Amino acid sequence: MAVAKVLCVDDALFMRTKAARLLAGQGYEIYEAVNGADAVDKYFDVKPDVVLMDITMPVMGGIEAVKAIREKDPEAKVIMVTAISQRSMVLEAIRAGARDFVIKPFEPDKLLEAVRKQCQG
Amino acid sequence: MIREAEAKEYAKDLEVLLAETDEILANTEQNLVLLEKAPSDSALLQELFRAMHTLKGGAATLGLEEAVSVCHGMETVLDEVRTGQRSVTSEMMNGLFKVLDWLKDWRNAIGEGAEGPPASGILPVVEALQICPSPSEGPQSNVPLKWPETCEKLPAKGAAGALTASLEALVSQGNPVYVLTVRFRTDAPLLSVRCFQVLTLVEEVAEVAGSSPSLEDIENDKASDALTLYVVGEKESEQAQRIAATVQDVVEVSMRRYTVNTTIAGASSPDKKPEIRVEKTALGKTVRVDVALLDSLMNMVGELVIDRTRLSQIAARLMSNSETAAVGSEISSLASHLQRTSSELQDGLMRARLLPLKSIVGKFPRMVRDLSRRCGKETVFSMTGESTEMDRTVLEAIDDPLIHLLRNAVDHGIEMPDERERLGKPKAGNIRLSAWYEDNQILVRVEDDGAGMDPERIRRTAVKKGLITEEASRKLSEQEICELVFLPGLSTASETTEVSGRGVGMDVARQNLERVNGRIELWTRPGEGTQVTLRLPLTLSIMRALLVKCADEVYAIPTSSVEEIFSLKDQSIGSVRGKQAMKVRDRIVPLVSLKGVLSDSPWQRDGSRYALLTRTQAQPVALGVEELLGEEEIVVKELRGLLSRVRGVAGATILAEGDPAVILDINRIL
Repeated sequence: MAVAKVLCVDDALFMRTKAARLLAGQGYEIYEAVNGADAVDKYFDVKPDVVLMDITMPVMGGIEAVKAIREKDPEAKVIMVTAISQRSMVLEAIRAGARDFVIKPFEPDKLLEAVRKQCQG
Repeated sequence: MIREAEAKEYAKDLEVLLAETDEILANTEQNLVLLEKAPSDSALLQELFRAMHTLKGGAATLGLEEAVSVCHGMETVLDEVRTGQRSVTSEMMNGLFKVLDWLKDWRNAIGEGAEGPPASGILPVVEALQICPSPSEGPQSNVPLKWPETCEKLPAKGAAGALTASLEALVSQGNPVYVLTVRFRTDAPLLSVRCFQVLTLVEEVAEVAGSSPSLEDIENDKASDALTLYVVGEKESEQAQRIAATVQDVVEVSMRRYTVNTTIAGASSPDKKPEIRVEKTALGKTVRVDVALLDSLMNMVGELVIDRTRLSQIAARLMSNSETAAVGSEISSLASHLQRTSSELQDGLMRARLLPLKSIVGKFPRMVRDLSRRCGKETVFSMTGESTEMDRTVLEAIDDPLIHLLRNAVDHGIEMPDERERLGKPKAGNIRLSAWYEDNQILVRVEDDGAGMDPERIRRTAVKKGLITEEASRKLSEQEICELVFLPGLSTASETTEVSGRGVGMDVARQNLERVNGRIELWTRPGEGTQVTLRLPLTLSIMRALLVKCADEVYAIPTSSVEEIFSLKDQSIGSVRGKQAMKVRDRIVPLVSLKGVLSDSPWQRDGSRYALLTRTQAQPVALGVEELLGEEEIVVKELRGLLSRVRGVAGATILAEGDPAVILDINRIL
């Protein structure tokens, strides 16, 4: 089975690398984007299996990015990475087509489980 | 402010719970009666279990802990039976009925805003029913319970009714609906978003007819660790279940079929085991309307009917004149349009007043069962035609008579078991309640295969009580003697028992029926049983009537009571034993004149030109009238006060010309 590709989108380097390291350790192939616009470009470049998407980012936010990606690829699997205080925004993201969400700061197991589920589904 | 809003919400929730509880308790009662006859019916046990489970969930949501513990206990008992750990005994049935009665008391108490009886009054009974105490019940049964299984909360707020209605509509249209209960880890963050996620994902593969909490509540962050989804379609629901299970923090997804309020109708014959038929009833979308409003609307339709008739008459007058013929025909077509519209309106309103017999007979199986036990008799009670619809007023009028007739059947009709055996009858007596439409009437019959009535005993009692002279009684046929039971003051049971003797006799039953233009008929044969048939009108407010003229007054006679009309000159009028009679085909029928009847000398000869052959039970009579004015739809206006008690007067109506006319009940005037 081909290695699954994950696109990690976050403007904060710390969060991005943490997720990347964790997933790489499980054998995933990791790509990174620093904002929504970057994420949309990279998405259609790389065609990742799963996207981990932050919500608040400069240039283009996560929700907008989800919309842009889902518009062209309705099958896109996006997991929102969110702070617990961003309830209504997660709701909005799901409405826009995000499939799942994990709470920041994430528990490694939860993040891995979420990614694994999206890869299977 | 917040408190007020909460109180309001609680009141709304309570209203929903009460309505659901009524339904659950009524069904449970019926099901318990059936269970007694079919103690190993697993579908029945399942239904009973589910009922208690639902009630428990509802009560728990509103913090009504007393009922929660009782329902929980019931669940345990039913579960023990369902899983075959024990079988149903009559002692157990009595216990279950006792618990049911407690739940009814509880429901009535909380319905009136009272506290409700303490569970401690019934819990010993519940505990005695169980083999082992409820597992999740602590050492003290008063401790609020928590249970591990999924608990469906009532659909949120006032939306519940609408949701139930739309689900029932779906089911009635043949769409299977499934209930998916999704449970989340209780400590999961952003639960409402999880609910939203599940809902969104499920909606991608299936139609979600509703949810609890509702979408609105979820969006407003009102969610708990359980989400109930009502999903349409079996395959879709299975897929939805799989998908929901993949969502993070979901610990369990259960699925079951949604069933609409089920009513049970037992049909049985003496040698067959009672066969249990489960009828699913779909109520569709309904609203509650005050009967008074319906009545006033009906009255207005009545006015319309009168106007319409008048309009047609004006049109006819105009058309007979060549100068105004054009206007006349325009008015005539307007009148016929008005006729169509008003009769549709009439039909619609009439239907709105109709209720199925079901709405009053639900209590009967339990009643018959309890009575039978008290009398030491064995009975099999069955009902057919419960969906027969009739006017509310009619339904109200027959409620007490039916209770009385069933009591009679158990108490006086059915013999003791050993007596029946000796007679070669099945040990258990059959009592049947049936209803059906016949012509323009509704027939409701109560019959039993018991001892029947003893004409000789009735005759002696009637004579002894001075209701009839010995001499007169000798002239009566057996059938006529039996009909004496409809006279006030005759009770044939040698002693008035607690069961039958409650002051509501057959005479009261007959009066009740006559008030709604109904009739009561009796058939009985010693040793074979008794049949009492109630003949009821389809509707009360509007009827077709024959308008006749008598001594310059117009009278209306319901068309339903007239069999045939003859022109008198064509008929040979003769006399039999000094009384007028006429020959109708091969039958000799007594001939009375309306004028004579109204002036108390029925046999007088007068200028009657037509004869109406009446439709009565036994002996038809020809009623002579001077003039026939035609047949019309009339609106019955109830007479009040003294006038309402005039024998033979069924009401009044207003004729097209605006004059009042008396409606005659010819069965009573003859």
